[in-house]
Amino acid sequence: MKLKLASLFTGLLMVLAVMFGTVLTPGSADAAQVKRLIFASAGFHESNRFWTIARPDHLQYEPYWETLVGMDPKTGDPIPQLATKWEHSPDFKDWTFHLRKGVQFHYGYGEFTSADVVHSHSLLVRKDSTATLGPLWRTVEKMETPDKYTVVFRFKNPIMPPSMMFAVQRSGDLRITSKAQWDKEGVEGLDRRPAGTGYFMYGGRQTGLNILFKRNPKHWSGRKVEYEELEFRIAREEATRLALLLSGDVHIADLPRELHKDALARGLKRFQSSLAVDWVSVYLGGQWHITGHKQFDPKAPLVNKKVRQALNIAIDREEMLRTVFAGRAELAYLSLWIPASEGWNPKWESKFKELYAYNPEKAKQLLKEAGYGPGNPLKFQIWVFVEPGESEGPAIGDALAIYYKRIGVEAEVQNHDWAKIRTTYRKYLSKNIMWPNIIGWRPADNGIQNFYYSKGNNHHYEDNFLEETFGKVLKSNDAKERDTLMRAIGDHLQAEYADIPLFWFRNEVFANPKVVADMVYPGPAAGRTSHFELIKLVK
Amino acid sequence: MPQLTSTRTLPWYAIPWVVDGWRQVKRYPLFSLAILIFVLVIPAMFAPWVAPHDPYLGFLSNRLTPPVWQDGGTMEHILGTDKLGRDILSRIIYGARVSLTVSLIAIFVGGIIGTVLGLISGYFGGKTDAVIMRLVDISLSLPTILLALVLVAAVGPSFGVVITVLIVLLWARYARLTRGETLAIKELDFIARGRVAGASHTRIMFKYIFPNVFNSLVVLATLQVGYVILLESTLSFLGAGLPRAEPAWGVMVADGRELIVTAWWVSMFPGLAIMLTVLALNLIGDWLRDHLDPKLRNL
Repeated sequence: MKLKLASLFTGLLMVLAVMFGTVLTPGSADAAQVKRLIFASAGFHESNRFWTIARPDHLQYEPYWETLVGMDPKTGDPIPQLATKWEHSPDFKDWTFHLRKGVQFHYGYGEFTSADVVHSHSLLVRKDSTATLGPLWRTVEKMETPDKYTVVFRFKNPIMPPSMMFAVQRSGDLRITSKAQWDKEGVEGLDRRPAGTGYFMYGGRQTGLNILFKRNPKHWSGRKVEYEELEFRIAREEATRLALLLSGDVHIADLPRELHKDALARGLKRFQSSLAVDWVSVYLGGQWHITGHKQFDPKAPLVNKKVRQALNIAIDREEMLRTVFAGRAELAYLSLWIPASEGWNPKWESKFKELYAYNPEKAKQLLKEAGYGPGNPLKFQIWVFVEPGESEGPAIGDALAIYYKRIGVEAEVQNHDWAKIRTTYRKYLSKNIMWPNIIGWRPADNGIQNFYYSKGNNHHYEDNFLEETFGKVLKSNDAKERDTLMRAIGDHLQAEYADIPLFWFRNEVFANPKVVADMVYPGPAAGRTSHFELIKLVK
Repeated sequence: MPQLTSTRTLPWYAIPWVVDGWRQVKRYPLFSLAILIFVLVIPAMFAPWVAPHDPYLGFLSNRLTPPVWQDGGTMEHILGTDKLGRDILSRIIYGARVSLTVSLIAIFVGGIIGTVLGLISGYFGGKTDAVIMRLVDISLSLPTILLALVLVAAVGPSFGVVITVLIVLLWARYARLTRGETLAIKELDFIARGRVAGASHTRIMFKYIFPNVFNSLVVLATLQVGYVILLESTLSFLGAGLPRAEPAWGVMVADGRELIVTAWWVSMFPGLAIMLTVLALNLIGDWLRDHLDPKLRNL
């Protein structure tokens, strides 16, 4: 009895301690002594086999594997990297890259040449490749290497400049690896110690804990990075990443927006990407409206257009923007498109306000017309996940469940791995689920090929109109014609309530102001946070 | 002859009827009972009438409202709101219902299974006893969390999964206790007389032995309610228990863990509810054990 009361007293003391909060402030790491800069990440699918990895997980390759074309950290514009210049044929089917001379692979694997580009591409089109841009790379009919420093991609269809640049920059997945290493050591060599050409060399990983990179003293640019080592430390819990920052155990971390206010109040510094590069939409399973599609189930609840409309107008986007995103985002009028995208229609904004305005009463009416009501509630699952730079999924899922509850819909939120969700919609298994997905910007045609076209990897929404219209886009190299076709696709997607567009926003990270003075990165890189070599430390 | 002192001259704590009353009160664990009734039983039974709001419904504009006694707090949400604007007090009240339901079902079903198997094992002995006891050993050595995670990965989180995991873990204790008691009781004379009188094995086990084991089972069950509530909360906290939207105390603690510094109330109040309930149940269990069957002091 006395022991139990003592335990109660101790417990109450602990409660009081937490209630009055801690007094952590950013750790007092001295910049002059920072030999290893540590970035805390929510984690990623850990593997060096980049052709099997989703684009957000390419964060782990940023320090050591470069791409043919670089990305300006402020504007996102293509800049020379492993290729110094490039051109295309008039029909946009042939793309020629002139490679930089004298670039050496890490660990003594020799000079970078056109053979390495061919080899790297071959990995993306392997049988086991699940690369996001795999469908694009598989349309390469032939690759030619007229000499050691020139490589030509011959595509089956025209590839317009935005899509090509997207694919060969840091936003894409063509990571340049050493053919010499592969020939000597095979995939095991790549798993153990991959050789790249980047500002850092791969130093090893402890699965589930961290990856270490060492500064490359002989980078082809001649630039010297301000610190010797870089570590990506895996900390899946958001509160843990904040605590690590405050204690000084890590110097940079990405945090969900819920913690931004607290982080700023405690003196941490926020850096954001130069560009608004991510959009978040909610995708609805079962949307395979192609005649004769074997997996299409006309009775699946989410395939009814009235249901899709109801689910869209039941959401108060302004309120969600203010609360879940703390005001740090902009409304997305349509998934995928920004004003600079091919086919952008300025009327989409006014159409959005007309078609998608918050109206829960109308949503209930639409559900009633679709056959759902108090005696027969609409039921489905909302699958949520967390990935690097994508912490808001669970908060969005929970918020949607709250809005849907108000209109009588029973939506069950479940946590899943990203890999499971991706497999589900890639294999047409996503019938009764919806999932919020934060996706990095890409050219509109690339996005449609990926998400709205049956021959792409990902099956979000497909129908006969999209198949036919996008088929024409693929064959066209006339800018005006393409613009018209792409606009028609956008009009169609918006009118059909193909998915639930929500917001565009920038990528943001927090840093210890006593260590990190400046950090500039564009945002559209596959792993979002990039350009670690440009980080300036406090002097 | 000594003169009796008038009650009017005694201090209040020495007045005879006060002393007698206090002696009666001390016989029962009133403090623990009071906590239990107000934190668990009344909320669980009368949740729809007691809770001020719907526990599943929230308004994002009200998210993270602090408790009423803090700046920004409101009488509308006495204990504040969570990150989806749901009233914390209402969710704690409904959470009592969830916790009590899950634990009572798990203990009841696990108890029945364990008691029956324990009676059979202790009564028949031999190979039957050996087999059942090996199953008990296996059950007791199963890693709780791992089992729950595997089930959730296979079929998704649900009431069924949580109750199944708890039953798998609980029955063995009842089996072992019942077996031990049965081994002792079956050697007594009245059992032998029953056999001579022609009573069947089933009759002997359930009419003669079981009533003598019942007290011990009641004590064990009472002590286990707190343990089961804690276990269910742990599983829900880890995401291997009840679905996210359910107002389960463990789920509520998990929801607020990344906000522990900025919005401490989200995790703190459900955590307090767990602590008070488990403590009260343990104190009552101790009292019951002391009064019903002191032999069980090692439980």
